[in-house]
Amino acid sequence: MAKFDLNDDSVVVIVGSGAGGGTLGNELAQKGVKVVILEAGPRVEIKDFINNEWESFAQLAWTDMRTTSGDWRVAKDFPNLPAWIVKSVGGSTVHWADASLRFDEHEFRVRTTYGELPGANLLDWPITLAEMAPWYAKAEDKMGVTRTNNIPGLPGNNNFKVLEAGARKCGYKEVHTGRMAINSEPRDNRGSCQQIGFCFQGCKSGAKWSTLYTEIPKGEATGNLEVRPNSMALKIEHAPSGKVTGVVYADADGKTQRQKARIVAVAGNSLESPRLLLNSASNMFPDGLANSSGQVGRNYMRHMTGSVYAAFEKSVHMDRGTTMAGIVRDEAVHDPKRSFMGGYEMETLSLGLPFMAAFLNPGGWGRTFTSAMENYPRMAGMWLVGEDMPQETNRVTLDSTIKDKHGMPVASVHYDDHPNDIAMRNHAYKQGAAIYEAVGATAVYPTPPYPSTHNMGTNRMSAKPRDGVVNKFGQTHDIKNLFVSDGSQFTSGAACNPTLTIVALAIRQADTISPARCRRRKSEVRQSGARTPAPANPRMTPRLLRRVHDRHRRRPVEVGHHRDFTRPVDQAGAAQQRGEIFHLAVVIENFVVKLGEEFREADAFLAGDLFQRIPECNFQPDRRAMTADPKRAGLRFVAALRLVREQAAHGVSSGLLYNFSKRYTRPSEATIGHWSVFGRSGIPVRVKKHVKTKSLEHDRARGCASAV
Amino acid sequence: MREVDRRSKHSRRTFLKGAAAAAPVAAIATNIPLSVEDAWAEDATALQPATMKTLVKVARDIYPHDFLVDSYYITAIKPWDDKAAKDPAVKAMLEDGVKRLDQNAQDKHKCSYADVGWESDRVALLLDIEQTAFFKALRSDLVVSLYNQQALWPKFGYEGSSAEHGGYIHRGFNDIDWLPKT
Repeated sequence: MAKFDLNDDSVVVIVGSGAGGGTLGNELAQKGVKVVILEAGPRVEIKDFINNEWESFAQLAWTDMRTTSGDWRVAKDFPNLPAWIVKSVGGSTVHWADASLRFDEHEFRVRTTYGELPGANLLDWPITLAEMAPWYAKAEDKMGVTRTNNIPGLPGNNNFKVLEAGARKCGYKEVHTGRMAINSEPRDNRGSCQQIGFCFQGCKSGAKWSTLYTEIPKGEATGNLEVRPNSMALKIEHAPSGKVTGVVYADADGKTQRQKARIVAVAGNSLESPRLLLNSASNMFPDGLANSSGQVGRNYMRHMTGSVYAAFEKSVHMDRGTTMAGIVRDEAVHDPKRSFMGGYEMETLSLGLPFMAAFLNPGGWGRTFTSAMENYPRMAGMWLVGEDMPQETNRVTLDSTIKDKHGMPVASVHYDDHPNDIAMRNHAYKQGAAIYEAVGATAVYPTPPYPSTHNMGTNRMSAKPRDGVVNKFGQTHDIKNLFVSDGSQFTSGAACNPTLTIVALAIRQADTISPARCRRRKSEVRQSGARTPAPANPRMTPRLLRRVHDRHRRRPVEVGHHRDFTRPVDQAGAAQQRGEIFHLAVVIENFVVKLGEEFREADAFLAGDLFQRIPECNFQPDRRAMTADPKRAGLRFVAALRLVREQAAHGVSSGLLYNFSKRYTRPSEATIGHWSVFGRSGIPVRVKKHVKTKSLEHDRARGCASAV
Repeated sequence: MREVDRRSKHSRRTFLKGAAAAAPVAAIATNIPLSVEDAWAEDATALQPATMKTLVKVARDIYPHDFLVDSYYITAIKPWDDKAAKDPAVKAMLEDGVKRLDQNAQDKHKCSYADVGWESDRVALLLDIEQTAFFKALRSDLVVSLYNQQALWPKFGYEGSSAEHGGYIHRGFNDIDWLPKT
């Protein structure tokens, strides 16, 4: 194991060792970069884990003081525990449940997809699913995600079987034991899942992926990575030039140390990362580091969340086996007909008896409560996790009075539910109850959100520096050698669990930071003999490794551009076919958007009226809309293409493609409203720009009808 | 399906014997009438025995499980005595809280809280003080100190730690047998 000098200013210092920090640390170490990881918590190994909820909580959880405000129920039930995350080496990958899902395509484009939503500070990510696809693939391979890379799914436990039976009865289609970073068969020198349960208490068999015993030891084995446990980062320091120079931290004895650094990457979770940036305020950066946008700490997201537990006549024993290996994905689509934006997942969840008492209905007591508790062995349970709206006022700030033992102000978390969050939660409670009632539930318990496990968005990515804190590589807009590497980069939260995306972003970021990337790019350029095109935005060019970059700074390197994103997903032929459909979908989608804009501009009077009458959802992937109105073949086509793009990014079946081509690739007369947009070949050829009064009136009438 | 054996590993009788053995010898020697059931309360050092007994009654009324004998509630409440011994503010909070509860009971039912016959009447008295620091502290502590006792887990069909038994892979993680076929 490496040991670096405090004055060694050639190291990359990473604050935090979880999904973001631990992954980034190993990836860099593998590429020959020297890394020091500062981890606030102790090093708790597999042998130390405890199959006892409260004892394990005391061992692992981040229980340092925090304060809360806002109308979310957590502030009332757990005023000093806004988040349930881990303070130990491995961070929250020690207690995570391992659901590893990719974002949907539209979830990177929430502003475009959802439009302007009052109170929501929506913004498109500066990256797309297509750009992320190869990094997702790498992350899935690294973590050994089931149902990817030919890894079989986990076997379903009792809790899953109840969920599955109920969901099928309700007509849900995408129901399985999840894409889980838990070995269903031995892989990566780790054994397969023993169905122990207690996934939240640290996996005693090591079957589930955690940076604690995968990334970190692998990084350490290279001799390039040093992990310093019990090292609480207090402040990031910078030079008069504005570049960061190192991190001040409190060591195990509480003594203040200063580790010099060439690059600092902050990965302390969405509460601690903004806190550290804010606590690092200086004369030069009075509002905190990287905060010229004022967005540090803002747009805090924690997912809609909620749970449904249900009691049955006979036993279930939901606590036996893998906690979260079960999912219903049908509601994860964006379908505004449900009267909210975005979607949610339903995932199996169980708690042990002690946690069930604490979380089933916090504050509850009396016979109603105890009769529910007495149903424990007959209970099944699911977690509802859905996209919550980013709001500027939902934010992490420094508490004005309370300081930690090192004298630094603690994080104060404000969160109000957005009306969209509430509408989604109510819908999810209803659907969750329906699933269990379909298989004979005798009582249903809609359980309020737990302290947040999915903390996101407080240093969000943005294309423009004024909209966010970091660029598409997690590099802060303001300070070139300061990075953010955890979930706080998220521009929006998506419906699914965030860890896979955090890991994928970390792998991608390591590729950006490391010198190998630059060398490889350079050699590629030499081989092809072509000049690398200059990137559109010079900010996107990482100039992090001065020593390496200085040699060829005059030839900026374009990073992260992958035209061939579909290739590794499947076999060559299918991939090519899909690629074509992809590109067609992109063309048509762009075309529709453009058409819409042109139309808006062309005639403000008519356009305003008409576009209010054509619901936005007609431009979204909407399964029901596709069959509802046969006259709108064009819109159906667009919607179908979008669906295919989403599906394909998740590994599409050939059957779906077949059905797709059968149903949608030969529309006799594809139209959008009354404008013919497609030629016989299916390629857009012509738009009738002039608007006939008659057809408009017709449209209005129909718009009225469909609005009703 | 493999079910959990819900029978107690130790009987109520043995527990009370143990508690009685721990009662102060002096108290027994001076021949104060002392039933075996009450012996544990006399153990209290900081709080009045009557306060301890009322607290146990309150504990049962907050989380009533009729299949649980008093010993579980006693175990859950006992640590308050230590806390009261260490912190006079805690002691005052508990003694005053019980006093107020007894006073309310006297006003409504002409008897102390513990002697109010029906649970629903006692619950009404608790609802009156639900927002007090006393009740909140008691309830939030109890939800852990009661349900975190390993001895009562089997009664709820919960088996606790499983890693040392090799997990549930061979112990019924998927043995549900009553679901309709899908």
